[in-house]
Amino acid sequence: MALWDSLLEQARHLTDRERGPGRPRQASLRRAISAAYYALFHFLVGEACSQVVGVAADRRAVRALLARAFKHSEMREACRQIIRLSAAGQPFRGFQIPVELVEVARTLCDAQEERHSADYDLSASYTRDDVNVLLGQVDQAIGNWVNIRDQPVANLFLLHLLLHKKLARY
Amino acid sequence: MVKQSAIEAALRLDRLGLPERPRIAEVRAEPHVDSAGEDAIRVWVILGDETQDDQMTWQQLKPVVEAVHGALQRAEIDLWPYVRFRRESECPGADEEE
Repeated sequence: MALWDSLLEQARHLTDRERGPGRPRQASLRRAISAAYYALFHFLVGEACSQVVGVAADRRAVRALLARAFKHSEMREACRQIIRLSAAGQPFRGFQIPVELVEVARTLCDAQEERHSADYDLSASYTRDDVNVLLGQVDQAIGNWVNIRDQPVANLFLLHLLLHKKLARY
Repeated sequence: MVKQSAIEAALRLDRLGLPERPRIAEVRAEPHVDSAGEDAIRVWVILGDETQDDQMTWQQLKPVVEAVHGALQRAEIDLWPYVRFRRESECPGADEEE
């Protein structure tokens, strides 16, 4: 099982395992939200690394090294650009932006913010529904990605997740 | 800076074109600064207490999130809406852990 898949399973486990008054505990819900974000993060990073390095088993160490280069903030900016262009009806470097890609980008932005809040904002309070809604959004984003992963615009998006600032010059 | 009144006007229930179910009692918008330090909006969508668990799913609630994004876009309000859902009896402030 891939790491991203295990993280989704962990998030569901943390959300469902505790029943009764005051349950699930806030700590469990916060960890579940964080796991849901990291599931999408590692899924997309994995897709990008496979695209750049290839999927051969003997390249695993190279993929792992490349994976360390992704920055949350840069990935967010890449996603924001896709969303802004789509909202303005503009293409992304000459490619029409499929709605599935917009949903992936939107989900990364939403989940990243929820992850930050869950990890650092002690004034926030979560419900089981919060996590279930986020998990559903992440699930759908991954499903959407699988439907578009072979399109050139998806390949370009993965490069932007890694190199958004550098590519913005060109 | 975008005025709060403009945000509230854009997110008025009767303008959002929301689906009838699950029933939405109220939409609240609060100023928010996101983790990147950008101005944003925290949107609380308050659902009726009769809302069933199987209606509290992304599939059921996605149209609401899309309606919020669309309404802000039409009003040319360039702030990201971070949307959370609560039932009426779970409104913010009433659900802190003991």
